[in-house]
Amino acid sequence: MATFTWYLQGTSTTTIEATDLIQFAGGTFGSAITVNAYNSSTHVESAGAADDSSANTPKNNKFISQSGGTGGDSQVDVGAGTVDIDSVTQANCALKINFAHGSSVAVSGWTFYAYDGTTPATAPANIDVRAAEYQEANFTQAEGSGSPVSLADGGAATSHDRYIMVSASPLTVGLKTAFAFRTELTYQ
Amino acid sequence: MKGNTKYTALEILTEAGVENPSEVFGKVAVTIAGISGIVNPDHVILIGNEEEKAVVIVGNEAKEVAVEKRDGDQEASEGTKVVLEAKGRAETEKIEAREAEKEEKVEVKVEE
Repeated sequence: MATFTWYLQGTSTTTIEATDLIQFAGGTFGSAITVNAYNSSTHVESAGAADDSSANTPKNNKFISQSGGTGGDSQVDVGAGTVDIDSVTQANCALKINFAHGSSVAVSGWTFYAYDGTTPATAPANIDVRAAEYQEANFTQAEGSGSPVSLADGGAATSHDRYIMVSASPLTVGLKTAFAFRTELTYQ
Repeated sequence: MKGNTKYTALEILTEAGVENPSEVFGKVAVTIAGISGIVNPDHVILIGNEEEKAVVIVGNEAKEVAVEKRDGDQEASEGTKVVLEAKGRAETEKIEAREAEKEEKVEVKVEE
């Protein structure tokens, strides 16, 4: 059987259950992000609106620039100042996605993107979303299935991990709920 | 090759001892570690830690490359780093083009 498991990394990882939300916030759980600014914290919010990641010191990836780093690299703040994204460690990527299968399978065409929560091709409205796989040099504006982050293919294995930096910014005032992430792959 | 490391398809074929590896992509079927239909030498593949060898099939010829288990963070080969830099530049150009398009639309709106 094939399964995806999503995690928010931190001092300990928090498993993101199917009914949970990934919350991008200001400095603390539930706090607003200023329009055109990016998340200063990332959390796992339960269906009951509780902070499921509070005990795990979750990682945060705050977008700083698309090409302001060394040699045009994107820049991010993972909590200790601005760095090029290709220097971010695996442990400092906010998201980890695991694909597991009962038998050894190769994976290809693996993508990750944000959408409006209804139609994969539709970008979330009034949000700027940047994402990149661990070791990439620049962010992708990963909005809609037409502009995903392409994750590395994987040779045959029963378990495949991918680490993703992700950041979001509201472009207008108000809570953004028509906003979801999706991942797709082919296994053989 | 090391496990838990991203390599380009060209690097893997070279390691497998395929003759003129850069010439085969798009001409004959290439399968690497179970991933079929590889037509681009810059195709990035994460070789995991579970298998002791990666099977490379070029046309009808199969070769094996030993995989040395390596724990710790995933690594990227030098070839992979070059590919990811180029991919990053392309993504940045796409974003800049989108932003320029938006600015143009705003200008038109102002004129109206």
